[in-house]
Amino acid sequence: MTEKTAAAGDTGVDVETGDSSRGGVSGFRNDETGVMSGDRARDVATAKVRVENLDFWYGTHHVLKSITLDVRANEVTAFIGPSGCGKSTLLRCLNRMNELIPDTRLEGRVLIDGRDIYENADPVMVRRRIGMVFQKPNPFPKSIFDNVIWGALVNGYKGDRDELVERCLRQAALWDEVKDRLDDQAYGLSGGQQQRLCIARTLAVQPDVVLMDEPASALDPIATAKLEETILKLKQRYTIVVVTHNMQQAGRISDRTAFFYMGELIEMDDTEQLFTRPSKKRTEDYITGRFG
Amino acid sequence: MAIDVHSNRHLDEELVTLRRLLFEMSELVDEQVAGAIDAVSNCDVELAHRVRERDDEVDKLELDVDHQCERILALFTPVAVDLRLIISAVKVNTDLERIGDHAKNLAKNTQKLERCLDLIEKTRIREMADEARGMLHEAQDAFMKQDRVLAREVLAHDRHVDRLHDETLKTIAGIIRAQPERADEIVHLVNMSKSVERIADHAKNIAELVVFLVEGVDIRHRGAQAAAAEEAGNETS
Repeated sequence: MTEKTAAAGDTGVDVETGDSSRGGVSGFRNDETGVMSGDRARDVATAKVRVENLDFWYGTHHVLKSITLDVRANEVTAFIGPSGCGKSTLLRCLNRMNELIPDTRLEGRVLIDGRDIYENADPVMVRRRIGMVFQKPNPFPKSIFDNVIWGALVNGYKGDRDELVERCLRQAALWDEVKDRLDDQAYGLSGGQQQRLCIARTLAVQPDVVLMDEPASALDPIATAKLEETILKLKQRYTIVVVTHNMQQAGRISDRTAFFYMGELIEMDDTEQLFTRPSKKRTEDYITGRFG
Repeated sequence: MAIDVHSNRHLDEELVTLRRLLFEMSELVDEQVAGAIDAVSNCDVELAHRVRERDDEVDKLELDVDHQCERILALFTPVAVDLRLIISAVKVNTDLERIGDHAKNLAKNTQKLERCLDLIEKTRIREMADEARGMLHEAQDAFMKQDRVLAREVLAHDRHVDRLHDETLKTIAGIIRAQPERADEIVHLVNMSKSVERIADHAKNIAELVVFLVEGVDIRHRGAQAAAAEEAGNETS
């Protein structure tokens, strides 16, 4: 298995066939007609993930309302908003994890490199290509080595295991701390180390996009700083979407930030712009702590 | 869509404290400028002495405002309009302290200027002083009320003060040629004109910060900004 390059639009594995030779930005389907603004044209040109008119229901509860946004390749995009605003639900829509929850309904489209992940796509392949790191570290009750290699083996990996484990642990900035005890139980690691191990485990199946749902919420400040440093390095190779309640964290690590409120996307902009001169009053009220 | 609005009370309380300190600073500096100008105009040495003594109060308030800004930045990590308020407060604080220093310098020269009152009358320094004081007052008012329209009016006044300063310097040059034996007194006259002109400049700075605070637009150094934008345009083309 070859190492992925940092080039924008490197698609890795095709969601339909699992073929790693296909895909790319050139495959992006552009349904729009007419003239695009400069920003819009740039978004389309570099969008890794595109959400179009997405609505989502838990039973009769309408939790996402007509969401349209682009996530740019090789950037960190942060989703912020008060509890219940729909940001984690949207994150799970990006790799079809909500399908695992009964009595849910989705309308609209989610495109990765222009291909709709809900249309003629294998959900397992989708989740392989779009990895997820959860709020609480959840290593398997196995050794550090096995934690990293497990997902890759399940997905049919036949290459050099030592090489893959080392590469993923290095990318997750954990290698130096565990290289002499790879056979130790993962539960013996600290919380921050466990979270980076989970990132390494996610990277081992060669995703294009890494989704993180409040990945630092269970970590102390030092582990959080290490994790943030890791995220900033990872964006050279991967497209990252982070849900966070910590707005300072969003400011530190993300290139673009989207603010959600009551299931609606209120504003999405460059992070610096959103945290210094938000264009919407609701965004300003939220980030300055005046509601939420 | 209804928003469940509630106040971030703790931060708001800290911001109220900051505004109160800035208001005190602003009032004190205004009094200092008025006192200094009156002292010079009336050769009131006693008033001048009081102005010089009260400069320590200005310095103390400057430290208090800085401390409050540091506290808010460290404890609350403000963003957006709150962040702009803190940035503006730090800079306004410095401008006010500098204005206080110019008032002290004016007051310090009162006795020396007594001998050149006749020369002052030949210049437009009094008019400048009135204009600068008016600008300061309006700039402070604009900051406290966050009134960007009033702030922009202050900017226009600064150009007028600059013209009066230029005229004054030309007049002083004429006096030097005509009465070179009064060179020592004339030096004080130049200092006085410069101090008043600098007070107007600091008032203008405060007004520019009001525009930044309210609109989020930095209107300082427009020439430099245009050059940077042009340079960026050349790089991308």
